[in-house]
Amino acid sequence: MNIKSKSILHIILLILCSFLPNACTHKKKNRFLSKFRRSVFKIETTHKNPNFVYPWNHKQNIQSSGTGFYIGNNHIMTNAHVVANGRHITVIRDGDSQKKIAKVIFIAHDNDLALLEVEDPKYFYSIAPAKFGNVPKLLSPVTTVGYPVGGEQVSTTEGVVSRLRYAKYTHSGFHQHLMIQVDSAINPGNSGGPVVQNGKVVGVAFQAFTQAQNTGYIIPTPVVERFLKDIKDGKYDGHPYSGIHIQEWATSNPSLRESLKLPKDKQGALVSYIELASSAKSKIEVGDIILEVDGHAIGDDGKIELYGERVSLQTIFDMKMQGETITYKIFRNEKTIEVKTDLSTDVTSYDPAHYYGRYPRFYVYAGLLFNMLSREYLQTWGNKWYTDAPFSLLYIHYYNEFIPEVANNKDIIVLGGTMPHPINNNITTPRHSVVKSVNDTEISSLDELKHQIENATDDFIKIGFYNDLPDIILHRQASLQAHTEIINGYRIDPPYWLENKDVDGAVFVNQTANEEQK
Amino acid sequence: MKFLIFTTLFLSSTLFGNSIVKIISTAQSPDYKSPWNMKSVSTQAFNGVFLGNNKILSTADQLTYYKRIDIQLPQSSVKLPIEVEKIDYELNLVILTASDERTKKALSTLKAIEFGQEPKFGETCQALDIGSQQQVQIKTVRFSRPTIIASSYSTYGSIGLRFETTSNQLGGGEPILCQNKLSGITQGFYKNELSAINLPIIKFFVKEYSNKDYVGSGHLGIILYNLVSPQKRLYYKAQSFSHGVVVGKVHAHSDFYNKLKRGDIILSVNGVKISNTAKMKHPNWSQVHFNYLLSQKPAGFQVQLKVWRDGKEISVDGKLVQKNSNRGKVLRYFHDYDPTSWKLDHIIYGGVVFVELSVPYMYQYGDQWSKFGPSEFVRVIKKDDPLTAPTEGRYVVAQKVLPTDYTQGYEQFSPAILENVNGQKPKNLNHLRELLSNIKKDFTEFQFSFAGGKIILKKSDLKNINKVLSKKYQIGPSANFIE
Repeated sequence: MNIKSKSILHIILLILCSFLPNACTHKKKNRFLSKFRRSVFKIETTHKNPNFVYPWNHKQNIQSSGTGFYIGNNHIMTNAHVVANGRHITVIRDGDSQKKIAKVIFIAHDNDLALLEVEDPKYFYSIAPAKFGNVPKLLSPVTTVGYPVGGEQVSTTEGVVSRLRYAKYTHSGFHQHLMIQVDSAINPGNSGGPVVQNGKVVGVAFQAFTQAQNTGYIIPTPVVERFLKDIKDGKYDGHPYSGIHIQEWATSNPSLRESLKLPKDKQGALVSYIELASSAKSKIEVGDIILEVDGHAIGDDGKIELYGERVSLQTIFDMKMQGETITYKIFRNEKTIEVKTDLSTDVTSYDPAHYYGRYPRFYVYAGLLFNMLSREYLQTWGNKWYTDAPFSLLYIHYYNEFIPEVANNKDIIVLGGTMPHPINNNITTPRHSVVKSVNDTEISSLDELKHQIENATDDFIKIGFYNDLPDIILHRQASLQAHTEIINGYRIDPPYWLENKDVDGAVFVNQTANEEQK
Repeated sequence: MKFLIFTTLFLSSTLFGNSIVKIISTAQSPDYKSPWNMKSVSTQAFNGVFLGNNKILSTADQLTYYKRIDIQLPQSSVKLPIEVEKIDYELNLVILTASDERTKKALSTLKAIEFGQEPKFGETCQALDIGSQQQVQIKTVRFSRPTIIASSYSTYGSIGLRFETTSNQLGGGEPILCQNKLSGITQGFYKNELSAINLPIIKFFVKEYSNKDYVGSGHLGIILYNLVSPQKRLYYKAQSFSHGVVVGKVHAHSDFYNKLKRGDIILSVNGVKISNTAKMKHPNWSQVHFNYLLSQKPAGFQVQLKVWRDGKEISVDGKLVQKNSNRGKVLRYFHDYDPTSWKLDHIIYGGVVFVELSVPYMYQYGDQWSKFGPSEFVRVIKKDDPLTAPTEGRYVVAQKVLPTDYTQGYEQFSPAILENVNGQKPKNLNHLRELLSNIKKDFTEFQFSFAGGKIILKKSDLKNINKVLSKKYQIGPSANFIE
């Protein structure tokens, strides 16, 4: 072919490409992927998950694998659940002959993201860091890259974006953030892997919906970028939350509008409740109608428009940093006013999310086991724990806000069981009762429980429980002796744990390795 | 354990056959999901025993939501009408009496049952059952143990009996005869053991019910806990003896409310010593829960308690109080409702359906309503003390919003407790009715508790809404609309 016909061919191809973009980008995509796969790692973790009922009885190690990708700065990004409670983590790329040992540098259990570092800094010299893109449009194609279960090599799966929503992240079990639903299969092994479109990473694969095939979920880039911004100061602070509950659609009722004299052109969300820990507590009232948050107009559906979709207004709060200020336009008493609050959620009360990266807090005395109530503790009732566990514990777990007696407790202390010994053989208090007091002093944490018991001076120690349940009465001298016998006899080691970390000092959420070493 | 020999004997006219009748109850329960409706009519057949003097004795739990009651004699297919003379849901006993002449005549041909003794451990007795053939069958039962039983309505149990049996068709008011005399009446199964009402309680009811002051058997109104632990005994300075139980809580309606407190140890009741696990001696059985003593005594009965407090024995006098559990803010039993129709009182205001929260109401969520019902309702019921002093206050709940154009926006409303209407808190459903009939403002604003949100309706829309509801949802004129 002579040069002239070659250039004519190229012009024809260019014209064709503008009319058939998919055919041409296909080639471009393949070229990108063949390079990009060198930035994608298979991560293998050995997990040691604690026993939440008898913490000193160790559970077996679990091994799992997931995916991660290089984002620059010697950091590999992956999901928190890929490395949670991990004791030994290795990474390897398709084509490498050696596994490298990795360490968790940052881990966020509220949004299932984590950063790993490999000890050998030269490892990343020849690897190009991934570039992050925007939120992909509905129905646009995306490619998941990773190491799904069933093979050693890196593999890719194609899919399209089906939905953008604000929903619960399973790893936390409680926190909600933006997530994108795609119709490609995401299976275990893909977790933590990059999802790409047009040469950029548009999300991190992290969940599959078990009841439907070909449905997967990815963490969109705004959540990822917020995470990276949060850790810039060396400490992960976490997502703030509004603490504001709204009554969806109430403002679409004509009578409600008329009675509140809400103008026809104004839409907003009716505030139904403000949580005790919310920083909006004194500024926003039940009955207010929130018209705008941070410049985003709120519809009668309680949603805002973001990235071309309608998502919950809570997204705005969720994407901010702790301590940032946020402005509201509120309709109250027939007038529109502007209110500012800061977003600080320094909550000390019961946390219903999963309890990762730490040894569960507990205290044993005279063979009586006092556990902290946690999601994991309730999950020991099996798959249907949310109906099978005792109602009183479930209610505290979901609504402790509404129980003034325990709303501000640091720990909900549950009588977990007994290590039988003559000292505790005749206890009539049923298991799973919630501890209220020691020698008539009310206590609100395991630390206080330990302190009160160990610093008691009376002849007897009386432990009181809520709901008028019988007290446990121990003869102090006899119980001290029994305690030592029981700890040794049942090999309870450690005999208590009140720290916010793990027994071997392993890294926990909101702490970096550096901080931990101090 | 020897296995029972299952015998079925068909009798035509013997000693036994002449004392038992078949009772047929026709019932209709309210539809808790749509309180303006009643569910379909159902019939229930069970047994009753002739006491003589135109009276039939049976169990009350078979008469849930009854509308009419008939009896059939053995070998007869004729249904004869009969009425309730006295019913005690706590004891789970009922006496039926006839006013119809035919029924009276038929009853006069029967032989009155004789009261016997309480059975001994392992004693073999007979349960008489009129089967579907109108023939009396004898089933063998063997007494296994006394126990505290709570009938479906009782919040404070009485002593009942448990029998082993191979027949699972018992449990509907069959008389139990030991040595050919009445020793108990069956009332259902519990974990494969046949449960029966004990003879002393039957005797008490039969003797006392015609007393116009009768309010049922009494109880102390005190929650007691075992006192076995030596350390606890030492703490209460009660280590020198081994009997007595400790007071956990005294209910507000108890006569001992200001006389006893948590930590007191009850040593004896009217001279009868109570063990550290709340038992007392019994002639036939080595020991039984001390409630045996009290469940045969009426409310108002005087008791003297010997109590150990601060290392000293004191004497505390008081009386038993009524067991009737129509107390607290949450009604516990269906019979707390209007017995002429069992209809559930409700208000439909602009399509919002209001009822009073009650335990029968919760059964629409299934037998395990405490797991599957709305959690605020469950919590409020669990916290409600059914043994507190009588109160007029109730929880008014909005059960649902029937969708019309006027209630747009409230479609996702979930059942919630009503906090106030236009700022006023309703004490009960009747009070709400009053408040709603006297709304002066143009708008009615309902505010619900526990983040339940609010519903605002325009008063002038109500007539139109009610028209739509009648047509669309076929809610008949018997519904309690407010316009």
